[in-house]
Amino acid sequence: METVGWLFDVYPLGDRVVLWFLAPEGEARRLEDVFPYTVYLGGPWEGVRGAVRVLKARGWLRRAYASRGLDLGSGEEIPVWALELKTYGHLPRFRGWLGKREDTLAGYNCDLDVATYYLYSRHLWPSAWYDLEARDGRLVTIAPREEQFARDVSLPPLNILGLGLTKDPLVPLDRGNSLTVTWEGRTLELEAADRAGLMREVAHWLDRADPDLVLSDWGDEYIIPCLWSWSKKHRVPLPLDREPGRVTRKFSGGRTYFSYGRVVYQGNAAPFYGRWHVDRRNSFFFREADLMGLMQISRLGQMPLQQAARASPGTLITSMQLARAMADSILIPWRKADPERFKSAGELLTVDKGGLTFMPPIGLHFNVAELDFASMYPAIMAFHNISPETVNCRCCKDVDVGEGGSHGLEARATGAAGPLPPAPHPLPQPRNSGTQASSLCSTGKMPVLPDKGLGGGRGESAGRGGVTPPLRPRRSPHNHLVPEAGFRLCRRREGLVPRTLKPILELRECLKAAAKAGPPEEAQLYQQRQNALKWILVTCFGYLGYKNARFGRIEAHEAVTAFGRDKLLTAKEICESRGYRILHGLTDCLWVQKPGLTEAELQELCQEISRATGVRLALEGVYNWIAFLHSRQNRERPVATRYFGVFADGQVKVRGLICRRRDTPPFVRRAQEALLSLLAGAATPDELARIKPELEGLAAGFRQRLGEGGVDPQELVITRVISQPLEDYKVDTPAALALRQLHEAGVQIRPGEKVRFVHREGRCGPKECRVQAEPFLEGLETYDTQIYMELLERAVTEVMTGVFGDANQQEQACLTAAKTGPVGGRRSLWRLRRKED
Amino acid sequence: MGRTVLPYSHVWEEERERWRKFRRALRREDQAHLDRLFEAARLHLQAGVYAANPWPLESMLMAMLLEHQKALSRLAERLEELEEEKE
Repeated sequence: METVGWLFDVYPLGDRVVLWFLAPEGEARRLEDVFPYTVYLGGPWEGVRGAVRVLKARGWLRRAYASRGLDLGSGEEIPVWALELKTYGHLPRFRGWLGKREDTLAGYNCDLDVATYYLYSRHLWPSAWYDLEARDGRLVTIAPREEQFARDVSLPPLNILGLGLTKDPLVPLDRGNSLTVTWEGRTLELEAADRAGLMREVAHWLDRADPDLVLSDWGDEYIIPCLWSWSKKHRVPLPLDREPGRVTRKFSGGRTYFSYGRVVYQGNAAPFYGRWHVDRRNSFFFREADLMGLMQISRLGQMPLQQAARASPGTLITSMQLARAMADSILIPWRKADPERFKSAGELLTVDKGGLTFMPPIGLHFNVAELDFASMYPAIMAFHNISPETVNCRCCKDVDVGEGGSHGLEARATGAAGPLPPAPHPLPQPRNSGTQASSLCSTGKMPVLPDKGLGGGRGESAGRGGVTPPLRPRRSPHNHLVPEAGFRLCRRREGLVPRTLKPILELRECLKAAAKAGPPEEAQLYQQRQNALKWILVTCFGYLGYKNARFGRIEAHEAVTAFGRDKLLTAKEICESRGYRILHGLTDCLWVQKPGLTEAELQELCQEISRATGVRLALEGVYNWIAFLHSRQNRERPVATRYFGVFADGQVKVRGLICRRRDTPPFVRRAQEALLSLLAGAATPDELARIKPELEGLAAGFRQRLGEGGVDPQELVITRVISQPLEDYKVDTPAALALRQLHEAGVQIRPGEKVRFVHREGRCGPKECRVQAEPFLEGLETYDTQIYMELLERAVTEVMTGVFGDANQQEQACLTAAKTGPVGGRRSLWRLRRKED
Repeated sequence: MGRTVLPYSHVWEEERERWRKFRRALRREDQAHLDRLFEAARLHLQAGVYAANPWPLESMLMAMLLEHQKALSRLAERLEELEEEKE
């Protein structure tokens, strides 16, 4: 029977893969497919044959045959044995066995997730339409009806059931908290006499609504684990899944880990089978990009949506790279053995650094524009062909890159008859998606990538006849030699990372353009999708330098930052030659100043810089004014990331202010935001001076409200992340006190989770009364006015000194000096250090 | 965070720390000037980063000199203006 279906869910079950499709009318259909997990063994041929014999004798294999695949490092075809494992359950045993023989055997494709491996191998992607042919519940043929990187997508109708709690999730379900169910626009609180009754209620709703998507708050961490254990205990069946077969669920209780100087907590995951469950509180992508963004990344990452919802952007970009590699018949090494090359101290000093950060002049500035490189690092990787296997590759070792800078290089590339393209873009394109996406996107009006649009033509014309191209960059980008570091980049093969990135970059540009052009309701959907892609692009650079990343290599990471610094400086030089003053620069953006600057002139400047650098520089906006703030420790010291300003269209841009911090109480945040939105109305120095009294009045109003004592405790909640277990806290910080309160009430908070509390009785009161932790805020009538007044004052001062300077320095000195002090304060560098002297 | 080379801003702090004893023996009014010198060096961190000089103090001294040069030029210009006004 032939039908049309939208690929909805995929998971392994026993020795099969189960697929769920939704019909255009929305009904769900279950199909099975046979998919043996295939691993590949390489290494000395005798050893491999011996290993295959042993594995066959153990009965782990369904089939074994000789095959070939591409080596990631060299790009050469190598002979391997393909082994089909009997069931998915044999995989951990096989890995254990192989782990002991790693020095003689090379394993490939051994540690891929079964569902994603299936999707990669069959070239399928979730959240897309397919033509299906099925027999007896088995999938026979499947063919996509649309492109993976399509700009416009359509969905079947999705039946969504909301699940939530009436109180804070720290309050247990049978002790004061209750469940809410949202369906067809109505929210109901489930009432039941006992646990079994509640279970029956939930089961009833699941049966009645038969939702495709259960969208919950706290579902992963609390609701589902709790309901599932009750269901087992009270023997009430809970139809979470559509899967008729037996599925198992284990809730391990989450884990705490340390990453980049922060303690992070990762909670349980409670996916359903044949139905989606997304916990809004446990999904980075849902938070950032909503359901539309989730579907987009699940599709691009070729990862089942529930997995994608709980994954980090890094996992997704890795999945995209794996999919790309599989599509290009590259074998995925199990554990990478690619140590960092030796570097001298001098080399290390030169390359081991990030983007350039200027120090902006403190104070208020007019006639300022902000210029941003669009997705600078991903664009650099795509443009310069930076990938772990292309940096100092073996295949171009003997190609002399010449000493004479870019010209020597280009002349050589032009003269070469072989497959040595001078610019990165005419490299052979891989089989499918990339080219499809570009053909789809290039019909748009916008130049998609600089190497195709602005700098276009250069590569090809120079390559063919050595004719001087019409749009010759003022300074041709040095494509195959990394500035500062001097690493070589491959000129024969396009790297895996650029191949993965190009279609994503192009799709994102398309989506951005569509979001600008379309009506608001459509624009939002495009916006959500492009936002999801943004996070993937942001992460992909970090993953080049991350030691655990599958396709990471530190030299590639260093090459990207080196190009980045070079491009920022090139941009700076061009701006300055056109008479602009560089106020501030930060990795991939520049703030330039010039009396009477105009947008047209700036657009032209951006084009010139885009041409010279190969990365598109976009005008972020012209500011009416912008204020750069000083450091909190020292009022003479500028900081790179604390500023706020108002664009010509009235939009406010704020970075590093109190209102942007996650731990700021809502009341203080609102106060600062109110001041900023009042400021947004003033464009000139005169107007600013005129509204000063109004601003002061506004601040006084907030002070008065706070002083009177009637502010809702929820407005004063401070959020902190717990970094260690309670017993390790030596000092009674407010967070530790809140943690103890919760602990005494029987609530367990693990490091990496948050506590929320209100300052109740000041710094000197009895310890148990100093703070009040959520969820015990009901009925709280008093709060510590002084602490909140100080916070409010800091928020007000930040804004006022930013705009009006330190005119009232005397006053402010009294306010802030006690806390921070100019030089020699509590956090000063001059403070005596314990160990020395 | 797995860094092999200290970020330049930390290098700056270390350098400042190295001069702590020197600073301690200065008169209080002079200490303030020394602090200002170090702050001046901090204004050009990005140049220090880019230059990647193995002796960071050299970059820092150059940055201090640069700020001095700027101050001198400003003063000279101002003086010229005042003298013109007088005439």
